[in-house]
Amino acid sequence: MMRVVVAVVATFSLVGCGHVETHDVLLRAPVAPATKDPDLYIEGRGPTRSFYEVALLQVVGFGSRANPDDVTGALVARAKFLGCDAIVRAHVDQGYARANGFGVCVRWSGAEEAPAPPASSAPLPAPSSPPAPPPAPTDL
Amino acid sequence: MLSRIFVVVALLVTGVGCSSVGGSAVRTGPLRLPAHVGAVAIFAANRPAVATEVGVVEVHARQSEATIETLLPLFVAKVAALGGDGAVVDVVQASFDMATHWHTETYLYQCGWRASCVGTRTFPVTEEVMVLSMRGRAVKLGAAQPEALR
Repeated sequence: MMRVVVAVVATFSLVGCGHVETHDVLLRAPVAPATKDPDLYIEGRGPTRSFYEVALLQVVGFGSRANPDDVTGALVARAKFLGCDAIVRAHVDQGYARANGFGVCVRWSGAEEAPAPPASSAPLPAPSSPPAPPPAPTDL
Repeated sequence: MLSRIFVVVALLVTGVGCSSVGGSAVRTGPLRLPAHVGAVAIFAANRPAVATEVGVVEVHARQSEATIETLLPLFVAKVAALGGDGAVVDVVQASFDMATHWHTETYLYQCGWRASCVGTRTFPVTEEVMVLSMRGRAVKLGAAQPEALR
């Protein structure tokens, strides 16, 4: 019995006091969740192929999850859920008991077509040299 | 009557609270445009092919308000106020600081036979404060019209 109590206490102490908050702003309607993890590009090292932006992502890690591993993991998970091919401009600002991660969720231009935007949305200008036009954005 | 007004004013002042959301927009360059009405294109990773800068914009918030959902609409509003129809997000950065503030709490304690007393204590609390800042530019997409230049 004592062993069970010790195991339970140890489990709870290992879990720790931490969580992550995920925030996003959708610039275009998301598509179905991606089947593979999106590529992660740290700020300053962008992909060579052209892309269009789907959403801005922010993850705040608290307590024991205030570290780049958990924050970037949550960024990738959210981008995968939104059907993104990559996260560009990703970076993590590290505090004492908080960490803030930011990235832009993108899809490759010429990838599978995204669903049509709502009728009320206004068109965004196309990227500089897109192989295929990106879907129009949603209104902010 | 006067005391009632005082109580109402005090309640209003304490109830309103203080928002940490703020920002600024500074017009730059020779292009002078009226406030833009309509959709504003957002460039967070790509850059507009042809655009003229009309100003620089910064917005920020702290703690629970320090989210992109809070900051981006304000950023776009400030871009539109400068006459821009394109919002270029250059930097989204969090900074951290340790801040101490005084915390006051009220508590109950036993003070004699079947009696409870109310006490108040004030003590300093140090906590980490996160400030999220979004900086970028307001741009007019496409080539600048000559008549807009002064």
